[in-house]
Amino acid sequence: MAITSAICSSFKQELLQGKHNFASSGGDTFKLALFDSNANLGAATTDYSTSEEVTNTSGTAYTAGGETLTRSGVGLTGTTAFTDFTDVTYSSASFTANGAMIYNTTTGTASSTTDSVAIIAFGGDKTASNGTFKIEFPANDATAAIIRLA
Amino acid sequence: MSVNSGWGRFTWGQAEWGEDTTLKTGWGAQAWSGDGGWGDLSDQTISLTGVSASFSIGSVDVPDVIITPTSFEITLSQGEAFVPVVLDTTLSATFSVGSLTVNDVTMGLTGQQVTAALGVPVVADMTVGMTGLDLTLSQGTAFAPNETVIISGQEITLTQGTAIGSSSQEADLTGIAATFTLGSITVPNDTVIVSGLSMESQIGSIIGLGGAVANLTGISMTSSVGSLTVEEGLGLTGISFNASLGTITTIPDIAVGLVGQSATFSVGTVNIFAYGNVDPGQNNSYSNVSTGTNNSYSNVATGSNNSYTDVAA
Repeated sequence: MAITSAICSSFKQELLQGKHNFASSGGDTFKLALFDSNANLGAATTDYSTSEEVTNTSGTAYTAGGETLTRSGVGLTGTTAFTDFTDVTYSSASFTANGAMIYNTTTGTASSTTDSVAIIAFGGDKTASNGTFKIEFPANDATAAIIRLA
Repeated sequence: MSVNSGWGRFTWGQAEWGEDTTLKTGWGAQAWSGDGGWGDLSDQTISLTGVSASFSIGSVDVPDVIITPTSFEITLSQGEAFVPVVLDTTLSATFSVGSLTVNDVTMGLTGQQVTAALGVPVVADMTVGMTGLDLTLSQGTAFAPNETVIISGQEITLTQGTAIGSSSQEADLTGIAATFTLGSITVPNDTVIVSGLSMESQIGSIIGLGGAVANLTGISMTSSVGSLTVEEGLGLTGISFNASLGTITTIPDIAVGLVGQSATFSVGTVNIFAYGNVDPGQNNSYSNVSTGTNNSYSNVATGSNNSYTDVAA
């Protein structure tokens, strides 16, 4: 079992079908869910699942399904289009995460969808003990944005 | 009972005491207060007033006497009896005819004849459930004995609807097919000009909502020229056909090898900051790290012979 950073293959297909909208205004609703090291996530992942999702060792910082992301919009520099999100912070967090999944809950104007977009591996377990667990997204540009299409 | 002798036979003055001879002269010879004077017994005139007397017949009380007549004979004859009839002309009588209640009566009737006429019924608005009606229209055959007959063409305009693709659905419109058949013409003597068939087709518009992808297929039409059957000799005019061939530029065979376009997705990296609580109860001490230029360091060997010991907590 492992978590591997990748753009989900199903997302590539759905993107050509016009089902995902990352625009800062009027775009779809994307969420970020955290998983432990027992999760098996990668390019073949198609949907969000609660399997191996992070649970709180104490407190209520993390909620199943993850946090709703704030879209940073879609940019284009040269031949590279990109999109990004703002940072996510869990306060008074007590849990261990090994990776995350970005998924769309309003794919194609539908509701309550679970279509996965990207898998992000943290490179190891990251633990917070009644502290702050912060996921800092990269700069929203053609070279560092979380999702880039060149 | 009257007294005829002795005391009391006369009234006072009529005779001398004890005598029974009445006086004719002197006192007492006359009645008291007569018209003649005292001692005057001469004739006297007396005026008499009417004297009236009333008589009444008393009742006679006849005691019952039994009389027994004898030798009586009675002859009786029966007369005629008359009953008087008096007509009262003031009497009037009113007669009224009462009602007649007829109970069930069986009558032997003779044949009756009735003449009846059927009226005109007036039918109000009605809803009539009608069974399906089939209507078949077919164009007849035009016979033109002596004139030029021009059959107008059949025209139909077909418009393809608008496909609206939303969400993840794809809408594929099927084509619209139309078949035209030109009728036959029987022409005995005249020139007949059959007009052509015309058809106009338009491709509809597609409204794409969201990220829908809609592909429009082309519109195809197949037309064929009908046949003309001539049963008699006709004075047909010549048939002309003009065709012009466009300019063709000689183009060598060209093989175009198209290669697909690819795009590369990249996933960025994120920084994770996970903190634990700092225990403020310990006597932690620290010293500033020197930022001077005399710091020296050596690279840590990455070989496999590295050894280390845990730092005491």
